[in-house]
Amino acid sequence: MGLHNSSSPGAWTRTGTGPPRMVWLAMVVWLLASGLAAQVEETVEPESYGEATEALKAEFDAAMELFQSVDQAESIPLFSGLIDDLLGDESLPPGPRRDILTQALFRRAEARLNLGENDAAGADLETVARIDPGFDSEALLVSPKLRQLFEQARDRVAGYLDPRLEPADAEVRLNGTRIQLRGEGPTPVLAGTYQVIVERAGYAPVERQVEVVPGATASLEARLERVSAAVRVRTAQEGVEVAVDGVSQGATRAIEPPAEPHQVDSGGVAGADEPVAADAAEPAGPLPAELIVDGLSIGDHVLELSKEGFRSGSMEVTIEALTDYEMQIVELEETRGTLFVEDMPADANLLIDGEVLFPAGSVDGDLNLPLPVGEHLLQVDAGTLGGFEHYFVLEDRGEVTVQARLQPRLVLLGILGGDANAEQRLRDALAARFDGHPHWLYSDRSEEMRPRLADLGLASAHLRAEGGADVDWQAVQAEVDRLVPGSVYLIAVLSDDLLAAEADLWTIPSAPSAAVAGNDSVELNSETGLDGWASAFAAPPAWHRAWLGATLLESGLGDGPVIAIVDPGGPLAEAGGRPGDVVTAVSGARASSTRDVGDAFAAAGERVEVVLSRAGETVTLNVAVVRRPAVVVDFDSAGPSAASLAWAAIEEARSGVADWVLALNRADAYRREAAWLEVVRVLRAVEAPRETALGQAAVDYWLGVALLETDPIAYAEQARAALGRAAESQAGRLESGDGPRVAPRARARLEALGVTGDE
Amino acid sequence: MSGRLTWIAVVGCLLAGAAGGQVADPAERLLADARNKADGGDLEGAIVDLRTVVSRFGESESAVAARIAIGEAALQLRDWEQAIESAQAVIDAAPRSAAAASAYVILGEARLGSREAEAEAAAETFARAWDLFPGGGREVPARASGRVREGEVRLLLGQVAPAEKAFLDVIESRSMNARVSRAYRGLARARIARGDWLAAIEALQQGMDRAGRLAEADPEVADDLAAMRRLAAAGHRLHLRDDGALPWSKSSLVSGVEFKRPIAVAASPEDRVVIFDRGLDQVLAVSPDGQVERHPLSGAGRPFWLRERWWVPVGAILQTAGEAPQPVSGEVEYKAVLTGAPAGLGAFLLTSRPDSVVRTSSSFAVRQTIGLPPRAEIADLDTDPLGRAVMVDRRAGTVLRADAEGVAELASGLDKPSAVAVGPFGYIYVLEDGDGVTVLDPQGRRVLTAGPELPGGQVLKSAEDLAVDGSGRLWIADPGAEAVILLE
Repeated sequence: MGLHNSSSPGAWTRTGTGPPRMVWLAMVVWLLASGLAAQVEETVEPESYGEATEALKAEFDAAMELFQSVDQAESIPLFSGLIDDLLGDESLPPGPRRDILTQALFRRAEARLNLGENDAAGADLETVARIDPGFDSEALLVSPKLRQLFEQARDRVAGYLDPRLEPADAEVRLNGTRIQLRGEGPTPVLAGTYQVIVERAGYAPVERQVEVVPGATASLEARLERVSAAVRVRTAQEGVEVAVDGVSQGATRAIEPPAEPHQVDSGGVAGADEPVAADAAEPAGPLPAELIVDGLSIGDHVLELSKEGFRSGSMEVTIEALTDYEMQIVELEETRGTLFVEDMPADANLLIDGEVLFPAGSVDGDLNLPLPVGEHLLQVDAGTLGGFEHYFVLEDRGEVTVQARLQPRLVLLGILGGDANAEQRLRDALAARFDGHPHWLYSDRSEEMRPRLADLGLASAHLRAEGGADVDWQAVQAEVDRLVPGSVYLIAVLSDDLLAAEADLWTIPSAPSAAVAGNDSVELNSETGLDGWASAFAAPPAWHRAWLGATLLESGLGDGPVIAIVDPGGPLAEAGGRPGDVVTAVSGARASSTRDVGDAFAAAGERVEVVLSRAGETVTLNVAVVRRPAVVVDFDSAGPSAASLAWAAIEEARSGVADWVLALNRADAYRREAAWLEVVRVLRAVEAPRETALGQAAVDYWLGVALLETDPIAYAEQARAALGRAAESQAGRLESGDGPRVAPRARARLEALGVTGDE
Repeated sequence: MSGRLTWIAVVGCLLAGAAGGQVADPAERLLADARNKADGGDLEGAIVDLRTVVSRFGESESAVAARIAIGEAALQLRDWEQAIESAQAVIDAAPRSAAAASAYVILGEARLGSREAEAEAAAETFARAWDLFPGGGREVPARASGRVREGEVRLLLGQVAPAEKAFLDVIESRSMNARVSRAYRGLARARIARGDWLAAIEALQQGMDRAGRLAEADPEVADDLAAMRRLAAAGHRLHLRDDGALPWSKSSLVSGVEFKRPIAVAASPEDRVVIFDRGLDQVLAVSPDGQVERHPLSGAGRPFWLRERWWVPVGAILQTAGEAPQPVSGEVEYKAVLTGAPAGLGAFLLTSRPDSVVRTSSSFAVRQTIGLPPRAEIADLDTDPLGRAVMVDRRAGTVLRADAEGVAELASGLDKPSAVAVGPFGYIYVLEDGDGVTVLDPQGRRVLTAGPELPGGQVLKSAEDLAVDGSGRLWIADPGAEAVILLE
């Protein structure tokens, strides 16, 4: 006999390649000694009563205070008010409200009796008996006279049912309503003729007709016939769907906590002065939910449990006898998957679905995170450095790997100017460009910043007239870094308060970049007006670029670009390329321009085949693809240099690119804004590799230029020295391995310095 | 003077501000009217409208725009005084404005156009447009325009290093437009003048990369791109050819014209060619796409190119198409001009009676006579990238070069040199005894020779003149063969 399952307990197991099956932990089913009690109350007070019931209790308590005072008569109007409110609903289900009503009636009867209003008191007591024939006057400390009056009143409206049932825990329904039988003795019921059903799980129900006469006891005898086994299915979670042999049996429901005395002042009950211990009524732990399944015949059955968000399970059960069984509580496992987060920055918060799971500093590198199945939002918030957002869907036992690649955040601080129409168009255009941008996060914080901008000296008229010259951009940066942290801040100034056709887009980077403001003008009446500006935000920069080690020339004389300069030691030189060779194909594709060659190298793997025309002969070279550091120079971009600074900050945190490369990139961004002091600050401490393509020669060149731009007289000697070093460089290049050679530019600037005395 | 190729259109954008469609503002409407007139060629009418804007809206931004537009229109009309007055008014009214930068460019152009002697002053004026605005923030296009023009003028003045620096300033700034391609073009020319052909080629390729992205939308950039492509081809021919090979792989006869006695040929940097055929008594102007214009003319000398226009001497008068003949004026009377070549803003002219090489202003007023060796018989002259006159002495068999220091012999031992041309990279092409071409490097060293049989099978018979175009192609006028031969 007994239920059993076919798997070993204790863990999820996999059966072959099929879906997982749940193993219920140490499930024991035993014959019930005590039988199956009622599952649930069929009538309960609606939850919506809540606060109103509390108010009624308070009214009752107030009435009871008067009732217990010397002015007991004063309590009658209060009880009456309560009774009038509640009597409108005579069919009150069992619960606090019915208790309040019956006790109020009972106490008013007592008060009336004390005033000598015996008839009125009797009427109240009769009402109590009608509402709750089982009202327990014994529990109240009242006068024998009152108790007697109540018994008389009850005998006028109710009789008694004396059930003799087998099994003893069978349930009784009177006209379809289950009644709670008294443990000992007959159970009071309202007088009348009842259709009685006696039932119990596993047994065939029995139906009788019984007439209850006021004041008399009616006998109810029934012996039920066992027809099936019954199993009490108990689950830790509520609402678990139960199916037997594929047929749904319903869902487990929470077990009602044991009945407690309702928190109504007993008013003169023995020991009423002692406070009721609130915690005494608290259950020891979460109660299981249960469902009694019957109708099970002897033999094998399949029992399935399922609930959304949890792993379903099934088991084979063997019914050996038509008796009662009880399952140990089954706790379904939540359906979960695992999120793997790679490259989690140290100084960033990790949020799932908007909730911080790991605050900054608690994770650095990789982590795995079990999560419920379904769609989630992963957010990494690294403050002014940027952030990362990624929606993902986890399946049960599934794994999702996400690289937390920080993206800079563009924050719109405001659109200034009176033309509301132009403002909205620009706001929409920015949103269209940046919402869901693959490489940038975008936040429009203009609403919350609106009152702050003027305080920071950022007003449209002022910016138009003064061109931002006297704005304390450092103060602006400090304030917005604190209030609405982002990587790049944007303030748009419309060209006119009435009919704006253009806007100035002011941008500043976040700290620690210098608060250098860039300003670009964009057209508002063109769909492509933002193109040039927005191109600066197009994609993350390529910090390394394929290095050919040569300068090509599109002369138009051959079938492709001709090799003009070959860098000694470079990939092309190593492969045997010579000046004068004409490149006709790379990686099997025709190369008609330098861009074709560059693109082919950029897309190549470790080596690339280059076909040349040399003195009428075809020569094929196998050239190594070497990637060298680069300065991000996008000549097609008219956008703000703050974007470059944001990328450099992110890359610095990632530690994937050499410091000197980042410094050169930063210097380039400052140079584009003519922030020469910042260029000097960034470059003067840089130590880059010498005699490489992009390296120290570029540092020296830009340092020399920046020093002269800063103060051509004070720094003339230092500039000469820097440019002199750059002019001596044999292999130095600007921008990248194949960028412009440094030396010719340095020589020209040195020579001009000599001719004119300054620049 | 052609506005488009010499000037950089800094002003067009201001006029363009009054774009089409309904213009409500009266000042803007007047500006739009003026622009329409200017577009239709009615510059005087445009100026009248623009002056109305100035008088009625004197303190407004529209008035500033109108003054700038007046300046540009006046430049096109060569009304230097009006251009200067208008530009100066803008500078006086708003010396630190973006419009002031445009005004400085106009002022520089006007000074340049009015008198050659003001070239240095013009360069300084252009420089003001750059220096006024330290850069950063919003781009001021005229700032870069001024710097480029400064570089170009300094290059004309032979100031290579400041010119190169000016071009670099623009290239290394955040400019995104026509000024950058123009600056690369200038940088390449400066490096050629410096003799650093590798650096020049590098600048050309970078310039073509930049210009290639903008050329479709901007005709000025397209011009620069075409010029740089021509220079790239010339550089490839000379510097990146196979060992021992000539710069040309084939020769052909110029088709479409039946020449009788082509005695002279001149080629422009834009690959335009002009030929004088004494048998036909015609000047034939050949465009890069092969179109031929015929101009009847007899008794002409060797044509030459100056300021994008061909000139043919007839006696002491210089003629060109579409302009009044220009006499050569000076302290002495010149009987005839044999040929000429550019010299900064003016020209070098080879004259007879007295036999001399003179330097003139842009209006052919003789400013200087070049001192030549005794008994020199100068047969031809051209100008090198540094603006120096390069001449061949037929009698002595030498190549001479004149600069500020005087005249120096660059090469000797040539066989009856009758014609000379200097290519875009400063290489010197000399026609010897009618049937051979010798190429010298800029230092006068012989690099190669060709002829009488040329690659591709053509044979020189009794050639009288040669020319090198912007792409490094060689054009030879051979009356003996009754043909003009093109080597490419």
